[in-house]
Amino acid sequence: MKKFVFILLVGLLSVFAFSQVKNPDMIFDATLSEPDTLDPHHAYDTASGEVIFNVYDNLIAYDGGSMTDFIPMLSTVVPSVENGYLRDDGTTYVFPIRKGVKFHNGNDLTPEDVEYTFERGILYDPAAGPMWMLIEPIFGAFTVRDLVEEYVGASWDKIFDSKMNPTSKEYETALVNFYYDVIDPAIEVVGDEVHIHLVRPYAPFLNIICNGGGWGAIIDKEYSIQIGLWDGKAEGWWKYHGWTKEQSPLFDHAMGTGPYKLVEWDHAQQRIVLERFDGYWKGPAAIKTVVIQGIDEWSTRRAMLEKGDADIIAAPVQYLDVLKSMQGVTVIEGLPTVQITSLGFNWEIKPESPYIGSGQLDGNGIPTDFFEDENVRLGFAYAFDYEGMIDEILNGLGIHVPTALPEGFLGFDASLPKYTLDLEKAENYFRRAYRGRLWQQGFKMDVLYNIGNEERRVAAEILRDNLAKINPKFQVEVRGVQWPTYLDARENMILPVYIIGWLADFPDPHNFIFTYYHSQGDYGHYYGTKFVEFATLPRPEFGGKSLNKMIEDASLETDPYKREQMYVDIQKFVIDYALTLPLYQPLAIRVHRDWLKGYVYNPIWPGDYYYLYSK
Amino acid sequence: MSEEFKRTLKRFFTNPSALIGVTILIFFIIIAIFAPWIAPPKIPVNKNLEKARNLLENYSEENKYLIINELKNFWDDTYFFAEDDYIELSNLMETIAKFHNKEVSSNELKAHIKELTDYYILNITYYEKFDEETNKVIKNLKKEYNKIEKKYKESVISLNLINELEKIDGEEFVKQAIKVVSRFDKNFHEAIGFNPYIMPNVTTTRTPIPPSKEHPFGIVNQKDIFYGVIWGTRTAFEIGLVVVAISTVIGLFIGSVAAYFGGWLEEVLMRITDIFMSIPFMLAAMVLTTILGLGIKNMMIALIVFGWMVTARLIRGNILQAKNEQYVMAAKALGVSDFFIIVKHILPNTIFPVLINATMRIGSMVITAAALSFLGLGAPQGYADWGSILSYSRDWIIGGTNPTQYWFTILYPGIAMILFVIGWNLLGDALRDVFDPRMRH
Amino acid sequence: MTTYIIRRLLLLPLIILGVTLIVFSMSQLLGPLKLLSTYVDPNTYAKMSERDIQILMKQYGLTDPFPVRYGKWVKNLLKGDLGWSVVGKEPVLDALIHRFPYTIELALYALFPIIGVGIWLGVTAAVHHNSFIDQFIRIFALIGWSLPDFVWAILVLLIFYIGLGWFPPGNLSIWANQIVKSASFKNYTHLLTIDALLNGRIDIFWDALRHIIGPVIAISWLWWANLLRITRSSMLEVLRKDYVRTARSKGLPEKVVINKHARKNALIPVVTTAGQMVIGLLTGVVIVEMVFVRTGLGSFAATAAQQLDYASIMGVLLFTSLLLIIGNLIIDISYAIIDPRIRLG
Repeated sequence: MKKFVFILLVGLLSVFAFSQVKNPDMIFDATLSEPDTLDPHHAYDTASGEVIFNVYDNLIAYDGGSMTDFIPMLSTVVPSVENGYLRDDGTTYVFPIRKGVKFHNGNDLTPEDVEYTFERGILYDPAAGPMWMLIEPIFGAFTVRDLVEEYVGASWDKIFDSKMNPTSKEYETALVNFYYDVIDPAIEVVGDEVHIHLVRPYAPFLNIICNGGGWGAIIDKEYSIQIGLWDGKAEGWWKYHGWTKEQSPLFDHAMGTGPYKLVEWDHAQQRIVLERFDGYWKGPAAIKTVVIQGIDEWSTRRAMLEKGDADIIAAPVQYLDVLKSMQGVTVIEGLPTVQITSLGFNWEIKPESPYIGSGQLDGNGIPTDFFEDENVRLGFAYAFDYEGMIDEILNGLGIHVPTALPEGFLGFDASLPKYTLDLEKAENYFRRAYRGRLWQQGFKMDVLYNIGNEERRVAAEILRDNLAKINPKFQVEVRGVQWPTYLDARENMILPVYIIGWLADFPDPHNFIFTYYHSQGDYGHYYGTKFVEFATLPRPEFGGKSLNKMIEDASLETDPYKREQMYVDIQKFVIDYALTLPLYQPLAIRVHRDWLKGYVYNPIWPGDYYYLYSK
Repeated sequence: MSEEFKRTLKRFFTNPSALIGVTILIFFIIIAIFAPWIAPPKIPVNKNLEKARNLLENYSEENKYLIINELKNFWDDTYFFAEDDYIELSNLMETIAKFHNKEVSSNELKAHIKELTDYYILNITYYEKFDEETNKVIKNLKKEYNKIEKKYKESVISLNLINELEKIDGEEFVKQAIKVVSRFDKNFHEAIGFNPYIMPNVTTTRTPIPPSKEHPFGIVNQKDIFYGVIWGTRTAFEIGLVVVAISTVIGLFIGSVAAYFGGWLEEVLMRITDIFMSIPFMLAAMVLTTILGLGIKNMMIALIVFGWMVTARLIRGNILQAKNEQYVMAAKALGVSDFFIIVKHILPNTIFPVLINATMRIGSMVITAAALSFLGLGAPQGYADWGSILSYSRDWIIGGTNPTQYWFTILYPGIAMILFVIGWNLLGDALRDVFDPRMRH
Repeated sequence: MTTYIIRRLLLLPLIILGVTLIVFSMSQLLGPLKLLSTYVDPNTYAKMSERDIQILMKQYGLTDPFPVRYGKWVKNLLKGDLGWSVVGKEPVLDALIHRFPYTIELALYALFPIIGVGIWLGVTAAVHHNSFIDQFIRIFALIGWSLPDFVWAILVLLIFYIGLGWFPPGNLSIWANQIVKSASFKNYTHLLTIDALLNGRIDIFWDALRHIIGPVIAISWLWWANLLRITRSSMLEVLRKDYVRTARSKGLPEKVVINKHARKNALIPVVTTAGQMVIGLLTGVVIVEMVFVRTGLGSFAATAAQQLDYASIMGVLLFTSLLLIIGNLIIDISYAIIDPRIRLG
């Protein structure tokens, strides 16, 4: 009898619980941002990446939440030296292509599709796109334009007129030959296999082409040619190069082999609708429909989650307490990210900058070379409250890191010295700067942040308050500007310091160390020519090598142990000279309804992989 | 005239809405004037001076030298280089004088400047710009010299003051020392140029904190709402008065010129007015502010650029009417200059409706400005401005678990805002009723 | 009269040209780099190289001189090409066309309560001149006139959504949205409530209506205040007129006097205000749409401004200016026809 009651109770409960699940055959994901473009070879942002991630497959995939272990996907093997699919001293990757895989339109996947995909992406290589990641390991240059210029021996503007037609017959022939001599041999079909040849061994290559990175997604050749992508011919390939994103037919179309098909992208509603692909080679997904909608207002997202209309929402850290008190909602805190938020210094501010006051060391501004002074940089380094920022402002969702290299990456070493809030130390450095004159005169400058990013505002305000505590004559004004204005100011080299984040492209230290500390890195580039001098100077710390050289060498080192040691040395050096202040490595929070099952987190993924979910 | 004026005044002050309006506005004016006392800003203090002051409060003989030491430290931190700099620059001035007499070549002068820039006495730009703009550099160097001379003199006086202190004791010492400290304090404040309109952060947590004794209106986004509301009064007056005043003047100018001169000039000016009126005000102001770059000043510019047309039309209509009145005709016949006629005869008789309109616009201008700030397109982050405080409250009110717990974030700035606007509107209403009964529609 | 209308029509192109010039010049104050950043995803822009920037600036024609760009822009305008909307993620014209119906619908629903209640309040106040009711209505108007719309809108949301749960933010509930977006739902007018009725979906009609009432309440107070002031003063003036006095002295009942004689004449100036109100509702519901998270022209403009999406900004400004110009033209002409006594010019 008791047993019966128990079963009845469980039954009732489960019925009750079941009836609670709203829209059991649909996942509604309320996000903040909308995709930029769905062309896998153009998309570089996570919102686009998330859609591509679910619609397309790559050759290989990460094993669950791991950033280093791979499993086969469209390739039946993960190439390695041991299994013989990584050949020629690590420069030839061999991918046997899986059979019986169908695209959403019913076409079969062939090795030719794979070859076409890579070649199209490389030839297309749009400005501000992600294709440099593939071009660098395969050809040793960053853009296809560089390759063409080197091969033809003339500058791009000379080869082409304003309508992208070759200016002469010779150039045209050279361009056609360029395809046959350079591009075609790098990626070849051999039977059922695709061979990719690198210019030299490159450790992160598998990471780059792995599932999660849209630039490695495999597209359908027949479909692509039909909608107007590159026709696969050497003649005239340049007509398909470097479009603006709206010009690409793949901008809002998608045809992959992935678990979901793109049904619609409604711009007005900022909404993407995906539907289960029943012919998916691994078997169809559990959930039929996925709706990803950009909802800018936090209050709406919250209400939708509360009422069960949204299953997943993007949530700002500041509302963590609100979320935790909600019923039926899972909140996961402290997920590691592959991001660093840092404060960079401009060593050579343009004199016309409106953010440096008088531009002189007279108490009403800062000199243009203010941050070339190591003492000033170190003074700033010890004037920021790293722990306080993480504990109070980020609700503990941050890691105090020694340099701009996130935890979990090769070379990360928690035992390296970290900057801490130490006003006395800071005072000592400031007293030393400019032969003591800085201390007497004081300074005035603006610190900018992009509006809407509250964490950066607070970080700037913490710095401002602490500097004023050290010496009231150290005056910082915190100013919010729109993102375009911010970038414009950075581009024009008029920002004195900038607080900015870097999100990993692929999980390798090179992606951070080069970006931040090489004078040609994406951020290092903005420290000014005085930093170039600094970074090219031979250093006793590196046995006579310059910082730039050291960073370049570290990326080529194949022995992981040696490589790690090199990165540790580089980090020690940049800490001593306070090249950038790593403010924090953010930790993420994840919020979804309890009824969503099967969640897996991988920091390098652009977003959710809905195939794993059930409700 | 004076009899009529008296009657008008009487009518005004017996009008209940005028009374209420004026009372409210006086209340706000008082708050604005006394803001530094009602909500004192946290002006940064020099550590040495603060220590000296503390020691003086509990003065005893053995503290004397500690106090003098603190003052000396302050002097060191402020004037340590003053004498050296003065000597160096005096030498440089001599070199410049010689340069003018052609006793010294320009290269030698340049080398001398380089010496000073190496020691950071002068900015490197003096050296770099020397060849291009020699005269300008020399002119600026003279200014630099004057500045340093002034500083040097101040340093000597200050040092003497400290030395004097050493000679005296007891009551007299305390009295004099307090004077010296205040003097130094003043110098210090002048040197740092503190901006009280930036609301300081008073907590480290982001969640709003309900009203308490120290923060009677509560805290939102780390900012004390009371402080923001009080100092925001000044901002509101500034925006309302400046925008309306300037746009009214522009409108008056364009409207009166158009009406008086007529012809093609009128046609062109009025068509320009039409064009500006064809762009929706709120959107136009919003767009221009974002394009000029956020901030109070740019927002005011945007509001002025799109805010003068009503005045222009109003004054034009009134002048067209007045133009045909007898006294204007008479003045014209007498050969009085056009400008004189406009300023002396026409404007005074046509300006009342414009002023009334301006008064009524102040309220709505402040609302528009606050709305822009509310959208994040107006006042900069942390600036004491009612609209910005209200925008902070939005996310908490709509986004919190129990929104009623954040009532204070909207209540106080909201009430301040509403009262302020009501004050101006009542005043405008009353003015209209009193001065111009014809304008009821 | 005819000359007046012809003159107005002749000036129309000139004014429109002037507006395009102002709008375009404003946007060009930004400079090429900022203009470029509206074409590129923000995070991607942060990672761009010098060369990428050069290529893109050329591709988007940002380095051409001002007259060339203006000429190109006007030429494209005539073709209906207003550029690419970053915020809308579609061509600006499409973005405007997609969002405008939502604003029209809101304006339509706001119109009737505002005009009905506004005029009724105004007439009531005038008829009971200087009585308690009049004072009460005047205070009501004063508060409505002085209440910042964003404060009032938040309060409405607070009371009616969070407090009572009646009028949620947004345009539609999610379930309703899915039906509306499905193929079986026919869009005849693109006005949600009307389409819902035409499709026979009463549930969707109610849902759409529920989402509209909150914003309507938030908008109404200010316009009530506006309208009732005009009605009241115009009514007061008419009531003093001779013919009303005559009617009264003839011993006609007060109700007849007001309804038959006074109100009709008093409403002439009200028509203008109502017309301006329609234009105002169509072009300026920024705050309410933002607070209630409604899709529409106003929220589109505000988000575009926040992100400095200049193509969208210019598009909205131009579009709303056109509405304003044409709307005013219609009002002025119809006013001239209703009441030929007004001074033309």
